[in-house]
Amino acid sequence: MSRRPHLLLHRLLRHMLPARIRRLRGDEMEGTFLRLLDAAEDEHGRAGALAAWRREAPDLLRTGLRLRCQRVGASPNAVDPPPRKRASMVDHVRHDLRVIIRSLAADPGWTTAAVLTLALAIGATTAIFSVVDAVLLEPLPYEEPERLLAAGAWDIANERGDVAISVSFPVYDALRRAQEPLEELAAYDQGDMTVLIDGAAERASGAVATASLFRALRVAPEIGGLYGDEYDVENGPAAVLLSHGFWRQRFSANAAVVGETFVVDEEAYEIVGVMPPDFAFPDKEADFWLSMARQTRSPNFFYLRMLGRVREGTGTEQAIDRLRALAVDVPNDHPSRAPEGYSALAVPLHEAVVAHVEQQLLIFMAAVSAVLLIACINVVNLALSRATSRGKEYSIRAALGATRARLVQQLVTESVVVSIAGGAVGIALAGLLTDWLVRLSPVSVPRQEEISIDGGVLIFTCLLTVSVGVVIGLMPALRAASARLGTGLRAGSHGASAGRAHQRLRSGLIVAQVALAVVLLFSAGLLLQTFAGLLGIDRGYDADEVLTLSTSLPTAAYPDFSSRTALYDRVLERVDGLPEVESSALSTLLPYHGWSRAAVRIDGYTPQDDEQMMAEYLVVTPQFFGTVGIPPLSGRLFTERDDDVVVINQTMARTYWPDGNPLGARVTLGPFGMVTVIGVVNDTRYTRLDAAESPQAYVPYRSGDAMDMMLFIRSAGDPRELIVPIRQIFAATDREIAVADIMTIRERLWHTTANERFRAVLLGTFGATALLLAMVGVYGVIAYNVGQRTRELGIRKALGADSGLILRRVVGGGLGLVALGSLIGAAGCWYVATLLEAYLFGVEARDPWAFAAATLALAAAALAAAWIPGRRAAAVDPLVALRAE
Amino acid sequence: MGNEPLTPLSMHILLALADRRMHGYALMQAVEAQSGGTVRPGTGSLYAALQRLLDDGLIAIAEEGASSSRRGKSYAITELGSRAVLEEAARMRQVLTLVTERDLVPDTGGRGAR
Repeated sequence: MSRRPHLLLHRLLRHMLPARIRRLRGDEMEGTFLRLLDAAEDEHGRAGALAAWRREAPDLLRTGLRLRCQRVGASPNAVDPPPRKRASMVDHVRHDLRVIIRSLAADPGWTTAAVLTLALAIGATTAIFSVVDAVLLEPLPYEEPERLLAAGAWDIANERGDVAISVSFPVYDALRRAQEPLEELAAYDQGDMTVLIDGAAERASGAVATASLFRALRVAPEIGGLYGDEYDVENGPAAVLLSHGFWRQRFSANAAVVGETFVVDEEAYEIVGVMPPDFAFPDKEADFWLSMARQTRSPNFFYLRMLGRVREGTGTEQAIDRLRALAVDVPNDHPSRAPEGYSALAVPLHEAVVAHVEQQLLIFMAAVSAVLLIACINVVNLALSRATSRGKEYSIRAALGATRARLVQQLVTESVVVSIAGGAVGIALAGLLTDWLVRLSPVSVPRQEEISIDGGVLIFTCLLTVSVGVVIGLMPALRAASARLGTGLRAGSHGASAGRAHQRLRSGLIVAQVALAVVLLFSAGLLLQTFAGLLGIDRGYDADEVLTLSTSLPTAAYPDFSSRTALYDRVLERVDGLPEVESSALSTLLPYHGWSRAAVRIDGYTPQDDEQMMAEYLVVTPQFFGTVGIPPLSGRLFTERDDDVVVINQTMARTYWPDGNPLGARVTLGPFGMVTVIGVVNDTRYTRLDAAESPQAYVPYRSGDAMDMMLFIRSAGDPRELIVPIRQIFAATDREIAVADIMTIRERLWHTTANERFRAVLLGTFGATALLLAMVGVYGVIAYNVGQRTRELGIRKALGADSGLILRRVVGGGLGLVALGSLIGAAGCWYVATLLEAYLFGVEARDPWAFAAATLALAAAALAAAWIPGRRAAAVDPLVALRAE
Repeated sequence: MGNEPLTPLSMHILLALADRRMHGYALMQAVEAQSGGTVRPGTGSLYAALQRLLDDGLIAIAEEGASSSRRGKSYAITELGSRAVLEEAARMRQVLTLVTERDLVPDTGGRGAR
């Protein structure tokens, strides 16, 4: 985190000190605080800033209060001479501030409660807003970003196409030549690649980009130069640009690497430059960018995404229309078929980048706003109690000539002061929360590297803080001012009816609060159920502790099936020789890491007209079933000697042999030709957790001729202890084999559910906060109510009311508010359910159980909150209560 | 000035400056170290105390941060300041004598300064 938010907060807090010290010593204080911060971060790392603030913030507040009190007199309650007649607004405010700070200091419990409640809510709102701001609101970090478009191809004959769908090189090339509203139309792709560093292979995330990409984005390298169009010529010279981070980590930030050769996927690239640290395209994962010289031109590989910059003098909308009107013929590789016609679809780049997270972020923003609202209601309630107990003070002031406007102004200033204190603590909190959010957020959230509490966010928070202060202050202020100012003096505030309207207002606020909290808890419940459901789903195999890894073999050294088989045999033999290893196997696919599909033809099965006969397939060694724990249901599993056989899953058996026995049937399975079904196994959720089972086939490794295999290792002990020996085995066998993605299946599961976890954790946190705040709210109102009715309760007791009855009535009153709030909340839940539907799995959007759980949680919390004042009410001693008059 | 007792923080500042001149951050470290961690000022209390001591003439600004503005100014104890430390120490000794005479302190180590 940069120093700026710290400095701003420090400056804000310094305003607690008298102006003279600020003027004379302010700069020095700032310098010293920075050194304190540095020292604390050296000692405690990330937590250092918090440690420094824990020392600094209370010190500034305490010193400020002490000095300001001393200046007028010894006591915080000393009288401050009010400004003279004809005093300006500023004088009034200054005078008010002095009075307010003293009166707040005199009531530390109240002040702390109000400040902390607001700090929590403002901090959370600021943190979420910093994400929304960076991802959705800030323009993309390129020159004239509004002129950048994301483009896709539109297949004119078939009326198909989408900006998110990749195109083949010939389609890109044809569109690039034909379009004219764009200055540049660039193409790019991103993926895992094998790189050689000091002779050892490893996997890295690389991008492929035409030279025009950098011109379109108008970015310049930090060191060296960009590559030109000549590096995009097929089989011409090839170039690579390194990302700043990759250059620092892998090349020790050595500027002399420019001009050297870098090997990616067995091709040599000349390093032409290093990009600046803030360049992250398509996202922050990209370690380097390759020119197009070695990329395939095949019309059958759809791997490029397109980006363009609109020409000067052309409107963006106009450019999009003209791209849509194109008709470009692209030859395919079937000489007999007519060329296919394409036009280009385009949307502003920013829209394409945020498309899949926009709604989710807005939901988070709405949720955190609800938390903020709940917190505000609590503080309003706190302020109302305070205003009531100070009714006499206002009456005296009014009697001494204070106008109604002055009273309102004073009360509003007070709540703004409280809110600013809350905002200041909130900003510090937001710094921590934002760091936490970035660490927690899944890769799918774009532009994470841009998330920070910057000037824009701080302005938002300041505005938010002041508006919160005004809103919170106005309600009690108007009430206090509108109460007949004389009455307070006469009889104290025991008038039974005077409190009625007041009580209604507060009860209304609690109902609103409960309604909001129910909606939040309901949403959190749905998302938590989704997350838990995904983790708990029956995956059809038992392999949480199986270690998995991917390998990438260099084709030069392993050109054919026999050399690859020999290598894998050698490696597996040594892996099986490790003491803890129970079994090991190969497969073409890692769990939750994509899938392969092939067309299926089955003798005796006639597909319906629109039915596409497809099956997912995995090429596996015989040990795979045992290692991953997939038991056979019928028939048998294959052995080392089997060829031209296949094991299918239950869904495939049910789909294609609805009333027959698949065993022994002959099937044509895509690239594997004719094979015989020899066994049926359980359905597994192996490729995707959240999709329904689809037909799946397991093909023996012998007939597979697969290139790079994945290893599965079942260990008798802790699988993580195998990581080092397995890496050593590979290193000793061939350093040019890249080994990556080493983790257990449980860890894979954890990664694959990152989105759901993010949503569940975030809304769960909001829900829990809402519950806590609502609990405090209910407690506050009931406790206040009991306090006000001490006399009435005393009379009731004196007249023979039973303690149990009083307890039941007080607690019952609290539960009544919760019931009403829940009822209103139910309507909110109905609406929210439609918003959340897209993010749910395994749970109905209008799940009555989630609603019941939310309501029950609130009712239980309210019961607990009402119980304490209820006990107090029941214990009222009639004598004491009556004598209190 | 003169009769009013020094606050613990001011006393610690003067004691620290008796050795050598220091700037704010070093002073903060010194005070924390010599008080055994019982006095841990933040910048607010530290500079409020420094300003008060400056106003009372017990310390003075030694050099106007010519080297670098970020390091801040160095503070040095004045003649008056040294005298105030001695007076304060005398007062403390008197208090300590009274306490010891009445046998209120089991061991005289304790946190005499507080």
